Amino acid sequence: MPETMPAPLPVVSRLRSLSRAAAVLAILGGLLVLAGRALDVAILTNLFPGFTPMKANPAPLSVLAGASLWLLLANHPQSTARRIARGFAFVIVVVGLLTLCEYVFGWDLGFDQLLFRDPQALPGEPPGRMAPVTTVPFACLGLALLVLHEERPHALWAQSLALMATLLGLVPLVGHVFSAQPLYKIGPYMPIAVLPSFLIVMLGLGTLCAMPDRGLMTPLTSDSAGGTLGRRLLLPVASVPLLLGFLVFLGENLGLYDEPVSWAILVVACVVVLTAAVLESAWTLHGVDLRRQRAERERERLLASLQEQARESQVQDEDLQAQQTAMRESEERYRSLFTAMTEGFALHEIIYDDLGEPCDYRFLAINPAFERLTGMKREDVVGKTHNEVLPGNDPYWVNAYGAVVLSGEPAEFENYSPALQKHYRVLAYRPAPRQIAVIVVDITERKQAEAERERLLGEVQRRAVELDVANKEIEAFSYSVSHDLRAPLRGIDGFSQALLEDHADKLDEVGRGYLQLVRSESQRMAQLIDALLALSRITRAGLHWARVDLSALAREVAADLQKAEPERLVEFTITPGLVANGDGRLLQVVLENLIGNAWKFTGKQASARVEFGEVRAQGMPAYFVRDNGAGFDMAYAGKLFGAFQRLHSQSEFAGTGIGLASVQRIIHRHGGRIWAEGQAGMGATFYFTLQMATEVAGGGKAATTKQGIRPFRVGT
Amino acid sequence: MGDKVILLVEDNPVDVSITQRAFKKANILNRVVVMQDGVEALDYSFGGGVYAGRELDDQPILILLDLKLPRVDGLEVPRRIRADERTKLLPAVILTSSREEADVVAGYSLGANSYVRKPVNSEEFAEAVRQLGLYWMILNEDPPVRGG
Repeated sequence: MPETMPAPLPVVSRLRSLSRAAAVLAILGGLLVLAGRALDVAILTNLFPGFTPMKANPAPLSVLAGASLWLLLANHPQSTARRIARGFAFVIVVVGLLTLCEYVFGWDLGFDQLLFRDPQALPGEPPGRMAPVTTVPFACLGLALLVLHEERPHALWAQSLALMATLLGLVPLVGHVFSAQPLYKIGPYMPIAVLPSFLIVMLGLGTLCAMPDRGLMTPLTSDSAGGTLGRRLLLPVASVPLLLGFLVFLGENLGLYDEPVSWAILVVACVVVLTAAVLESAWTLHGVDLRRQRAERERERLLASLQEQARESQVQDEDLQAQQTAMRESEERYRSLFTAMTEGFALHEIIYDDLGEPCDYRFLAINPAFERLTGMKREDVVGKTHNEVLPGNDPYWVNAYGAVVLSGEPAEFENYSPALQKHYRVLAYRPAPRQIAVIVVDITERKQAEAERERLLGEVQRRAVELDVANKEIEAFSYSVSHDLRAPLRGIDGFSQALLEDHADKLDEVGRGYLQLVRSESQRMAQLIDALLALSRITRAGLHWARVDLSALAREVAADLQKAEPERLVEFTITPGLVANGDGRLLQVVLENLIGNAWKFTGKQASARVEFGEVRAQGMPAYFVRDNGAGFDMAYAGKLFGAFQRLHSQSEFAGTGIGLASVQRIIHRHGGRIWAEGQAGMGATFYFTLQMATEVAGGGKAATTKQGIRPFRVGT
Repeated sequence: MGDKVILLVEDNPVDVSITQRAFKKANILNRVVVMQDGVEALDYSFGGGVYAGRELDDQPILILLDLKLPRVDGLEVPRRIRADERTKLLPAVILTSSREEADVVAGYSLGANSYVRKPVNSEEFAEAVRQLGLYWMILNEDPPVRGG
């Protein structure tokens, strides 16, 4: 805390007043003496008859000193007053010192009787010259007034000089009081009169008190304990001995007691009075100090509580700062989220019409992603309303946002914005009354993809319907073929039979042979029709997946063949335990055809052999039917599996040419493939695989329409 | 028993001729009444159309039905015959060249007693007709005739 100037105590102004009074008195005293000289009134120069009369020169010096002191006290800011005061002081110093020099060096500078003649001068005395004892204190006073200034060394010097002048005036004054001549008359020189002594003391005290809060006087006027003590003790200590001494001296002069008694009385009185003064001061100081201590404790307590408060407020400050930091960080986080998020974010204020229905909304804030998604610029839209920015846009948005604001329930919706030509998914919620915050994602691409998907789905469905229609047509066609192609054949055969039975006598052998040919051909055509229908059914029928024991099927087929032609000797070798996933009925058709072919084409072999087994082909099982029959030329392998393709003449081996085509169709529908190896006259081997995935995936049903699992096909 | 008729519903005159010949050769001498289509067959069965006022107690001993008929589908005939109290016990045999599985299942589920595919081979055909006639007319008793 910066030290502030304490308010001047009342004592300061009182001492100043005292100083001013002293100056006035000195002026008056001096003027009085001058008047006495001028009018030759003795009482005015020596006060009492018999007293040493006052010389003329101290009177104007006293007036000058008084005036100088008055001017300095007046504290005129005008430097003129100060300069005049300093001028007076200088004159005093010069007069004092020159008079002293006259005594010391035996000069007569002739200014002693400048003002008045001195007829009363004693013989041997320089007439009109003031006493040597008077010169020094006046010189001191003059110097003091010359240097009297508020600044510290100056005040100190002035007051020291004034104190010296006071003491030098006091000593002859006391000497006069107690008729102690040595005190006011030094050596052969003339004594100092009472009045100048008094004036000197007064001027000295006045100068001392001129600046009561500076220099030597500082403690006396301060608020400190020292000041209090000084003020209390100074007056009694200075005045009591003087007063008592005078009283005791008076009593002795009146013959009340003799000298030793007077000394004793004086000492006792001094001891008593001074002790009382000291005690009184001690009590006072004690009280003051107790108050001071209390005040000190109070101050410390207050200080402590102040510090406590300061600490608390510091803690609060820190808390506040931490909160502010947290808030700032949180704000920064949200701001960075706001600017960095890929979803568009916008804050709107809903605008209501006169009926309180939401009719528009105003853009309050949008983030960069929102700008990117909508193509709108922040500076173009913020502060404007939806209807201003996007006139003619679908009112859906305003209605949807208004509904969210009215209900307070968050909502999520997707809609097309005709104005922006984009689809958006919007999550909307109400962060504050009348406000709506929306998070926007551009789903235009997704919507387009969905539309494309819908279109493709529609296309697929259309194709499926077309396919269904086509299948129905094929079915109707097959039905028609089954009925209408067979009916005439029945007629041809039936009437041929009727001819043969009822009119055989009208025909010769050749004619009857022709009729037999007609019948057999019509029956073969019926077989062809049946085979075609079977092939068509295979294509259309659904697959019924199950575990199928191929070995068992092969054994049944072989047994049936053997039963049909028991006279044939064919050696069957069937590997047991071959199980596969597939449609049992269709796989039976496969084995009937393949083994049936083997049976048929080994018909001309002396020792026919037919084998059914399993090999590995490209990491999956391939089943085969091998025979040692007629075989085929590999050059025609590509024609094996075509419908109505035959590599042998009807007369050589009967057949419809449909069998292998049906087999291939069945194998393909199982996701497998079929191929053949052979050599004319050296037998043939037919291999087939079934659904690749079922074997690779370790069994189980798999999609039957899978593409790309037919690495190799024969006959397509 | 011999005065009962066999109702043959068949639009193909060749098939009619062959069938009649097969019955004759099998010594089945019942009169064969031929209906050209399903509507005619139903009219005959229920005394409608040109057969209004026909004595309905005189019901056929056996109905042979071709599946593919003009106007009313062959499968419709047994359905209607089975749905009517007067005719529901008449034996009806579907005689067709179709081998479609759906037809077979539909025929049986609509109440056909038998389903016979007409073979092209005339000997086999004659044998099938003979067996059918014998089975339904000799082995089966007369169906109880309503009224009496």
